[in-house]
Amino acid sequence: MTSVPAAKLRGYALLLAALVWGAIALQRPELVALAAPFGLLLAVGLAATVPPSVAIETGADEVRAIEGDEIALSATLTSAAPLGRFTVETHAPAGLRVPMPARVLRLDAGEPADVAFDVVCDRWGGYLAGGLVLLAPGPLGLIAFEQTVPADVRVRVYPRPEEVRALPRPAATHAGAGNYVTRIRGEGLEFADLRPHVPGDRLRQVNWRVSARRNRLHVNEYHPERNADVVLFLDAFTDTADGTGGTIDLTVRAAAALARAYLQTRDRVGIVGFGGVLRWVLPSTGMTQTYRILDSLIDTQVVASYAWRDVAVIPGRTLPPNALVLALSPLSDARMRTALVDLRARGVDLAVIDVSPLPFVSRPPGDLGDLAWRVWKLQREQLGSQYRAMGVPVVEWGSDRSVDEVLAQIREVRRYARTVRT
Amino acid sequence: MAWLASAAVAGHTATVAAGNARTGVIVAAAAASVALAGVVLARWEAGVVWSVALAAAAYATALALAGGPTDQAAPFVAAGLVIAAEVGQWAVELARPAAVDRGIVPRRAASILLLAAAGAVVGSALLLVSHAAAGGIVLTGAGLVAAGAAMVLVTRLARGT
Repeated sequence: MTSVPAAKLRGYALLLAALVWGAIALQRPELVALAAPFGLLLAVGLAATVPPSVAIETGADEVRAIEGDEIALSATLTSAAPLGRFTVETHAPAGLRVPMPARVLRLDAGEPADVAFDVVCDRWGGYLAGGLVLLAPGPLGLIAFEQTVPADVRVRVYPRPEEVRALPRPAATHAGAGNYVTRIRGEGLEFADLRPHVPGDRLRQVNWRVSARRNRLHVNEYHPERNADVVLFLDAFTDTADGTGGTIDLTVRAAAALARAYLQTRDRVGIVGFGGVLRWVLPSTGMTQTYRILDSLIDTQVVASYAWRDVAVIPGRTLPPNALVLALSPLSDARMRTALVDLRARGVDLAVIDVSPLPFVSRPPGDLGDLAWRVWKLQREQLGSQYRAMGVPVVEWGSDRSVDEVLAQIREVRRYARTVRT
Repeated sequence: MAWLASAAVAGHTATVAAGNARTGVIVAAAAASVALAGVVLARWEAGVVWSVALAAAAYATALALAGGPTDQAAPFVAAGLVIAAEVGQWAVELARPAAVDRGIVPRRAASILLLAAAGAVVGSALLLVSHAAAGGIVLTGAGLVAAGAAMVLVTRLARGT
């Protein structure tokens, strides 16, 4: 513990000296009487001050929560000697909030005391929290002893789940069981057709009613339910943000909602964070994959880099053939724009959610600013047109719309668009 | 409560003050009281001691200008100053949001009152001693030595911790 003299220690000492010397100089004994309590306070306070020894044991190592959740970070304090009054403070990093960051309590010798702080998870992200500062003032508060416990509790706050009612359907499926009813015939639940029985057909496939009517065995045919690969392609080159949010924030929220929704439909979902640092999670399915993706998403951040990157740097296994690639990007960085064109040129089933940076940028003042603003908007519109001409649906998403509305628009565009294979 | 104690000290200073500079002393005492309220509202911990020092200075000036017999209420003025200083600092501490466990507030309040009472008793005893002994160069020298020793003791204790 480090000792910190309280502000009043020097003040009282100076006051004491001034009053004593003043009493002698002015020949007024009342000033000695005036100095007496301060002298008493200093003598008793300093003589009785003993550095405390407090053992601190923090609670959980890792806490997982969802945005808006309130979690409790606790610690157990034990002191060898009784402590009449001391303060325990915690400091939360930006994104977490502690409504009551300090607690004043007393400790009996050898008896552990539990201290818990309620922490509100305001924003998704990975944090180190649980750092404590112990301030134990001496008996009369002249010397304060300070002990710092570094933050060592990993708090992982996942984005709040958003409702997604219907998802863009991938153009191609693969052999795994899923929720998409395919056009081919095979084992499944959805009735497809009737055909005459041939040797090798299973008895349970026989439609007895039709067979009786036609005097010949007929069997039912079904459409199998298959799953698909979906890759969320995130732009981590740039982040346009103001105090209320930003494009990375929206991107991560949308990606989390999409990953959850696709994984619930038993699709294999992977992510590629394309930016200054390339990050990926290989496509897979199941609950474990949900957390694997969410853990990767909350670590998403913009790492400034001027190095040129294209799709050649992306490992092949992260983009399986026939996968639906859903790109989330503000289309601000040339490297991302080029990568999207390259993906399309390779015949990837691609859809782009254009996370609009416009809500996070203030319109520049003056005629020139107005002109620049309009030119920028025109450039963005023209960019969207270019992608659409390549057969890539691009839907602009501002913060005023829900993810579900954007996905509905993508579904609508893809319904009437044929996938062009090159 | 800190302000009340400070105001009471200011009021007593006004009754003690006499002579041409009486108005100035009263204004200084009142200013000390207002300053204490100001520093508490401004959450300036060090300022509490300075405002108490101003009140003490006003009282000392009033005593020096008035002359006359010893003010028997001086120990109570001292208790008032201690209460003003300690409660004022407590008020500054309370400005920070903190959950305070039960039992801590009464214990601290009791310790401040006890300290003020003990200080008043010691002050009264010192006043009695000052009346009992006759003045002189020897006693003044002893007082100077005692004052110096007290300061050295305080410094040693502060360094020791």
